[in-house]
Amino acid sequence: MDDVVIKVDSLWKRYGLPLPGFVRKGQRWLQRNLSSDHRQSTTRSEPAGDNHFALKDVSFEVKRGETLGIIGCNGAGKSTLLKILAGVTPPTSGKVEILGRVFPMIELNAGIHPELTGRENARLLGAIMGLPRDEIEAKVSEIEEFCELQGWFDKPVRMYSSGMLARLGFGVAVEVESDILLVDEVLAVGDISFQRKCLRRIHKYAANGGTVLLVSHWMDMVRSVCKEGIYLDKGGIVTHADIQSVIIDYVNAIHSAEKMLGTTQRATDEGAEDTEIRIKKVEVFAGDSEQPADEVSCGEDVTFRIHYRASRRIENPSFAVSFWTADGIRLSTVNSYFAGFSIDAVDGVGYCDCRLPRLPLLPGVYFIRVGIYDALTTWYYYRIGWEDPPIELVVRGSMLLSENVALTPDHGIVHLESGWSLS
Amino acid sequence: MKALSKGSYINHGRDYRWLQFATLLWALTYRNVVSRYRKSILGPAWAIIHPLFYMVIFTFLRGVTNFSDEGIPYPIFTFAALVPWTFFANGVMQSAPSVLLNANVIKKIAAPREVFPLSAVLTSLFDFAIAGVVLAGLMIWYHIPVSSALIWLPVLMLVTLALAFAIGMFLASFGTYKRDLVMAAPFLIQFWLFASPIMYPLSQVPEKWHLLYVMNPVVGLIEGYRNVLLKASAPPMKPFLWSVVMTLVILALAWPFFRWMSQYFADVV
Repeated sequence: MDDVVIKVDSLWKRYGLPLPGFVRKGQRWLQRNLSSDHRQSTTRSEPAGDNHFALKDVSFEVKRGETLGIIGCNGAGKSTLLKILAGVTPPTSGKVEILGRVFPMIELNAGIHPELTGRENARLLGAIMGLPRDEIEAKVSEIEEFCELQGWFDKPVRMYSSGMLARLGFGVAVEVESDILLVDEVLAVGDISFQRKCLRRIHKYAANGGTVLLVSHWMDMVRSVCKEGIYLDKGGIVTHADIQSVIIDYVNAIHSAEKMLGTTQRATDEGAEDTEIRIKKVEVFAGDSEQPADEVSCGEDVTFRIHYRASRRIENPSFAVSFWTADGIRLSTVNSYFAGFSIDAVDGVGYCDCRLPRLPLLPGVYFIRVGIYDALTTWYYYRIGWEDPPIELVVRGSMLLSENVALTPDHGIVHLESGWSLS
Repeated sequence: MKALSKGSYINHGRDYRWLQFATLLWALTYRNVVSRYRKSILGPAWAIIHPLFYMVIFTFLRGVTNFSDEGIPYPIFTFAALVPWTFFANGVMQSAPSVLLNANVIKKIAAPREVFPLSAVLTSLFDFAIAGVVLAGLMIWYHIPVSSALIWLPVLMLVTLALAFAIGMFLASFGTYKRDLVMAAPFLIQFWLFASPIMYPLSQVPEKWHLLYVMNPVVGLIEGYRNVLLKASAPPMKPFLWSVVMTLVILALAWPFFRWMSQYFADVV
């Protein structure tokens, strides 16, 4: 393992004490015989959680300087994995080898006492995070400065807001030197400027050759920090690849799970004839192709075909398509009426094409929501993607700016046309 | 499912040094001490209220029963035993839930888990120091002469600390999984108080019970404190040696047990 700093080999993890068989039997016997409700307790078998593995046969390697994002649904085993890497809990089976000092950026405020002042708690946190005493004393003033708590630093932390507490914990954490950083969703609290400060620190850490493992549900953050990714589901690795493909797989999986829930809903209101106008489906065409596309490329012309069926004549409708990131940020909305395309009326069955020249979305997964509105009141007749799952738009490939300069997710979400001059 | 081989975790880069351990131990003890007294009116005076209270009760009880005082004024006779006893008792009672109380720290860092019961024992050492000042004042009041036997004091304290740490580790390692021992600790200590020569001297225990009575490792220690502080003599050799042996035995059993159990603390707290 030359520059491999984390090596995980067929790791299994089951929580709890690995008791010898006879102790388990004795426990069950006790439970049966001491329980007041005899009948109920004999029929009850071992708790279902007993044989539950939080991690199943997980293997991967991380090289020095790599930034690895770990994503997945709640309960997929992400935090368990970090805990094992931090050495807090032992693996049930498998081998974990680590080369370097690990710093878990997890629960940064663990151990603080509300009656102690910020300064006292900073010393305590420093000790908990593994700083020796002389280093703590040398760094207290730096920590004070970083936290930006001013007079509050010498007040008991029970008076702090949650954001101030977060600043205290993070302020101490940045002073700890380490080779491997394990980050677990710590930036959820704190105001925006503080979040930015934290992100910059992590970026800087990664840029200086530090190895980062990041667990987060915030896709934009994972994307911006990590190059590689792991998608965990029910304790196993589903995908281990570059972060973009991993995010696409993850979002796809969630989306298809939601879709399965959604189909029944759609089927039921299919029969409801009281809607005056409905969207039957939305198709996506790439370029001049006649075939609907599953994926589109960044920079190509894209057409959204909105099929409708109206049960009566609808005057002055407008069609709208809105674009969203996987994190729920609305990128933009295009509307036929705002675009200067006025429709007198629609009736019966038909479709409306919305054409976006040179799609300015960088590779990634996006959601689109489509609606039919009354152009004047903007009240909607029908819309999809709001009460039901949105339509997924997968953008792959990189737009070539010039011969070998390609835009990647690192560059952001949208592509802006730009002109440059020098004088 | 195939049988799984035992898991292993090796960190080539981790060098958890003594200095870090000492810093953490100090920081946790500081937190325990300061947080306990900061919001109270009497503050550290609470450290002496507990043994003083018992002293008053025992002195009163002595009016109705007949405890021997071996020629020493009874209040100081019992107080000299109550102060080290309180040190021991608080050490045990605070280390029993120490792992549970530090659950969020345990889930986060891989520091040796011994730091939690040990800091609990050190916290009670702080109280011992305060009560010790009052004890010294009382000794002056009763004109107890200071002797060279006092050099035994650090030895006695070290053994007391080790015994409290060992029993605390045992209670903590078991109590973290099933709460029974954590809940039983105060009751156990209460019982132990009467089974130790605190309100009465060892000499008053019937001879035929001595062998059994001295099994209690606290007996040699308490009699030791009394000898050293009040009688200007060394601890009674046989009970004291027995205390040392028992302490070492309990430590030798409790520590490996704690080591093994502590690996899984993060799983269950």
